[in-house]
Amino acid sequence: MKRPRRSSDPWHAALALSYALLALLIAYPLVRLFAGSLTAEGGGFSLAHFRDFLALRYYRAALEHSLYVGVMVTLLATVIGVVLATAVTRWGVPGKALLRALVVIPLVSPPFIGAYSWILLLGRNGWITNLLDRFHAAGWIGTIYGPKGIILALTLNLYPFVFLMVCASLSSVDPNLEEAAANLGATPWRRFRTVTMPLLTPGILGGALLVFLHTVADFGSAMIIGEDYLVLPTLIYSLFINEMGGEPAMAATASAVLLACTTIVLLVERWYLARRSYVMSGLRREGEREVSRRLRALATILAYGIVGLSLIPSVVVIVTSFFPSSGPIMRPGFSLGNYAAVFQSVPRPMLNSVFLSLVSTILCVLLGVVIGYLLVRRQSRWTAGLDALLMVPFAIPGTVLAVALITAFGARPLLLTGTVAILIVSYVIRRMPYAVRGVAAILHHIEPATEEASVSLGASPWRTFRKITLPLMAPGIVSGAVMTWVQVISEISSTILLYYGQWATMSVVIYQQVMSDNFGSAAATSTLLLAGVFVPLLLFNVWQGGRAAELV
Amino acid sequence: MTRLASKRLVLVGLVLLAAAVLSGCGRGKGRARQVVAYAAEKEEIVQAVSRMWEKAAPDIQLSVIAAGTNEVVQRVRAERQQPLGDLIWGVGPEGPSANPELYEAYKTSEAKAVAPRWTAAAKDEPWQPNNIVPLALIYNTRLVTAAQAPRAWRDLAAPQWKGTLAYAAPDKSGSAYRQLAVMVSVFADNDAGWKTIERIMANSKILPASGKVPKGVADGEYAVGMTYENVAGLYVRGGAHMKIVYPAEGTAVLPDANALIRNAPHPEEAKRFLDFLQSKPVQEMLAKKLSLRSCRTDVATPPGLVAIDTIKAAPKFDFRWAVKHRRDFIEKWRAIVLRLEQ
Repeated sequence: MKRPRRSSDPWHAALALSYALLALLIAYPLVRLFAGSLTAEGGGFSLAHFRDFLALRYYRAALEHSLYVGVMVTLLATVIGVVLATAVTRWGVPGKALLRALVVIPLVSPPFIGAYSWILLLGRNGWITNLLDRFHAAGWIGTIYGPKGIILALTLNLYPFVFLMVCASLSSVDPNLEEAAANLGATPWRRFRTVTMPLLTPGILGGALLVFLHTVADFGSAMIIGEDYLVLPTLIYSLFINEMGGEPAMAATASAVLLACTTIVLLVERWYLARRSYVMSGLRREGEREVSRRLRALATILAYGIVGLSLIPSVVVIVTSFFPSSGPIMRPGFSLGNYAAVFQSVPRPMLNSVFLSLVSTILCVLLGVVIGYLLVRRQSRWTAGLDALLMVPFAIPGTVLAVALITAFGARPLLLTGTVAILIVSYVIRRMPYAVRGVAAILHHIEPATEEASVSLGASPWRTFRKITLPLMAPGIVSGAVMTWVQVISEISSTILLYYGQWATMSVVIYQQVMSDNFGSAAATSTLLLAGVFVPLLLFNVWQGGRAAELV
Repeated sequence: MTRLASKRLVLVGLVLLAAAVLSGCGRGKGRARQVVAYAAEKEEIVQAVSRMWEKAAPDIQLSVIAAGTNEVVQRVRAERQQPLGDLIWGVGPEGPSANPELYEAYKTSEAKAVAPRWTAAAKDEPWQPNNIVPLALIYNTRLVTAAQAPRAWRDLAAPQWKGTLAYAAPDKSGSAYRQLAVMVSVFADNDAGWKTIERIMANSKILPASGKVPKGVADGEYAVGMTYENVAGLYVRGGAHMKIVYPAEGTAVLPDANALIRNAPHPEEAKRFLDFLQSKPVQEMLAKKLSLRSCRTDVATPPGLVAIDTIKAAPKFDFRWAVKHRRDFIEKWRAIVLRLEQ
């Protein structure tokens, strides 16, 4: 599908600009960091560290653990996400707006809180464990610590990525195609397999990719529930961040290994999508489907069951926030003491969180639209490089990235530390991939013919983009924006090293409360944060739902 | 659509403008007198001391960045080209001791009131003593009776603790490394000594952060653990079913440290705050309200705690020795953990 190249194409400029921006904000800090730490040990280029990494079982085990957890979580989260998305968009589950808002909550709840809730329930002295123990059935679930707990916590934490991206894809699948298949006599299953499924593939793979990248880079859950099960991010953290000065060269090596894993997975996804290209005009938007009452009932139970399960950690947090607490010890009962304790310290961080996540999300979406468009519509070797570069921050634990940013932007002429700009830069480079993935997934099945028609009718490429492509991309942009927003608002690992002055966010406050063993205050603050994220989302969904109904 | 797009552009513009204005405000404040403390202290301590500082020095605005010891020290190291913080507050002395190039030696105006034992510990070091935090063992009284409870480090090697002993990973946590070094000093750095440590590790659940030890023991996830006396005290006062044991062979009895950051942006204000932290009113308040042992001779032992001199210090333990051998001990420890996994 070659199009005539015109020198006036604004997308060339956009590509150059994107490269310049990513080179400055991502490549420059990381090259500085890694080069510095690799020359610190004797200097010169050597593969000795990589040899050590693969030779020593201490390190190799971390890699194996990360891959195992990554694959398991990705598989489980993908299945759950796809089923749930189909149930919600297609099978007429009641309370769609509510479900769509509820589904995002697990993404918001800071991981150290979510994983801790699972320990409260299923730990050696957990509520459910003790209950089962009464029936001598505790051995039946075994220990929650280690890989099992990480997989459970992360699957229920991350499936919303798949859900959001598949929903966006489903809502742009033209029902005409499926109706045509039905008219030609295809069974529902065959129709799903040969028509719907291929069209959903970019969305599913995009979501699965995010889940995988997120899992192998996850630090919080592994830290809380992993016990002595070492994964790459906890390994990197302990090698790099240490009060007595860690082992930066080995940390850089471990980061490079993690980066290699994520890059390989990214390239495989690209290669797979490039081989099959399914596009459609997407001008008629999908509505609900007539389904049998039995299927609808089944779907409703399934959808609320899954969402309910994934809300357990948040519910535990909300419930315990009303427990009376003295110091670190909480007892069942009812009290507003925790809220009274945080009442004064919460308003400013709340404003900070909302402001920072709003600004970062807007920047992410703007960049995401441009870069996502470049990746899908202007595919070339150059855009492949852009894609790989963009995903690098995903593979670097937040704390390490923060150190890289401080090193790169902590001195004139590029002095950003001590200002709010460094926080925004960190959020944008870490969370932009969500926006880009959201946009790219939807672009994969918008037919270029519509755009070509516009250009051949004399519209400029920019006008075409604005008038044709952008409106068609809207569902992808919205899902990308939501993912970015909730991920920014719960970010902690880089914020803790970068925030300054009055710029403490809600997650910083929660982190400090947990560090101070004030679990009651932490639960209360988390509840306020959840409410702060949930209410706007619900309003947005209700408004969106209303608008969609108008359009139909 | 054009109208919508232009509206969107206006919105973006407004938000960016707000960002610029707000970050400008942040910088404007920087010109007033202020001091920036990087604290590895608990929330209550930070809040209580901040309130006292507001009264004592209303002309100097105190801004506290609180995090774990690792993060605080890492921040100082990362910012060394252009420090943003003025001082660190309440970290283990191992950090500043191992990285003297990041800190500036300073003698506080309160130095004379500090007990000679702690002045000696901080001699020629770039830090000043703050509160005294002995290492201790803890056990859950619902899972362990007083008769069964461990009394010494070597008791932890008994097979009865298999899978119920909570220990943080010493390559991640500074306090866990200090515990490892104390055990090495108690059992001796030879094959027999490391064999005992291996038996203790065979009993241990290795946790990724030291904060999970007291929490896990209080919650009944583990029966026995190693932690700081003051952290355990928080739980005991909160009503946890937990008791503290000072090991018979002796333990590490060390102050935590405050230090002036090299090339601090507000050195004069920082020095005043460092003086303030060691001053009698602050140390007395921390002792009375938060049960923190003072480094001063003229502040009484907090109620409910045994006198510091009755806690036996491990005779061969020295934190400088521990810092010096860190790499070696960590490697030996990792080898043990790997052997045990097989």
